[in-house]
Amino acid sequence: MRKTLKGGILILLILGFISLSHVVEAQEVQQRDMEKYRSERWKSPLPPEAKTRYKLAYTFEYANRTYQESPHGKAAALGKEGVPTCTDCHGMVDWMYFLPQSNPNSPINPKNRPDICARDDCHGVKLTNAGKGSMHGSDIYSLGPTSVNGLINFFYKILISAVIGFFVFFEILDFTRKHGKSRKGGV
Amino acid sequence: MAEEEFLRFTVFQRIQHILLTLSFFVLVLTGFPLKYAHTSWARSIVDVLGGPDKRGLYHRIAAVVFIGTGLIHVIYYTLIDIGKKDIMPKRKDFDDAMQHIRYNLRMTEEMPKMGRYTWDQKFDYWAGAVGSLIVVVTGAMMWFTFDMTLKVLPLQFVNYARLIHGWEAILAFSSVIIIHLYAVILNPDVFPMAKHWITGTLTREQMEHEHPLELEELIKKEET
Repeated sequence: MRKTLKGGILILLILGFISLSHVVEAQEVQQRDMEKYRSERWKSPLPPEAKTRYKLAYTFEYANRTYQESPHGKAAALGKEGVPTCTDCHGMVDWMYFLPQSNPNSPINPKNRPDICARDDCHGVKLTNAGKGSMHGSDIYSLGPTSVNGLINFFYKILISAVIGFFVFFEILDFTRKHGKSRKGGV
Repeated sequence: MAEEEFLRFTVFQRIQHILLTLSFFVLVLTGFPLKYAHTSWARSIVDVLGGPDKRGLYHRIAAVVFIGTGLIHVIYYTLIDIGKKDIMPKRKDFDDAMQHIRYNLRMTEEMPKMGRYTWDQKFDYWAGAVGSLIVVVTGAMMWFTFDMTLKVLPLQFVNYARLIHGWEAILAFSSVIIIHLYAVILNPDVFPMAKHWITGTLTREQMEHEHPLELEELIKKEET
């Protein structure tokens, strides 16, 4: 009797450990990929001009990827009309004049962004808070283990694995126990 | 002679359940295409629904039905039907769960004797309640981004709300499917389908097996 109990607990622990390590590993791989994506190309041994060009290409590629995950990018992907794309918010018609967010002249500088969101054909309300935070789907890309997003992801992966794992485990046991001596009734 | 039937769920309770079911599936069908907006199936679903605006509209209508049902439920059971609530979790539920697992592992021959709601039913109910509260709050944060959320919280919190809403949906959808698929269909006792969610009744045999303590109480009540 005790042996079976111990065996059961051991199986549970192993299953738990496997799902946990799987989750942690998936998380790490995702993070590593992003880190690689972010920094590797920048550090590559290229001549300075090429590096600048690479950086530009990377910046747009990264910007596009994160935009796709933002509410605007998703709405555009589903075919919604009038959704803002790059130049609508970054404000320039010439790619050369894109300014970093930190530049006070950039339309997406936290101080200027509320005006951009508040345009008549967009949200129409000017709110300072609209400038405080990332518009580019930061939930996917800021995955640092101590970031709030990273913690939310981690918490839900564990919770979902635990709940689904437990019920599947319980249901398989219940099924094998009942199988063969089926009785009409239940719940 | 027809088998003796015991009423477990009133018409009012069954209507609540059906409303939740319908709104839940509309929410799933109209919500996941936004979470996975860049997949072809998402685009196909949205096209069938009549475009991204219709998708959003249906999601909000279903949300109102879902929240309305939840509110009616809470108001009814806190203000109108005041009294002992069998759904409240107790220490016994934990013991029942442990014994049930031991029983399924063939470590004991004795099934735990459970009352009106079994430990797993209570777990579903309360986990569902907490989950619903989380999706409703985060959903409202996204619905009223400019009318409410950004007036008090920075944009970053809308991102957190999006993330939590999506995860909670995955958790809710997967657990609802896994739990119901077994409890209502695959469970050898009820296969091909348990009917109490439509008829509201269980037979004496089912009661003896699944809810023996409730049956004892009902019989006692009848006698007195």
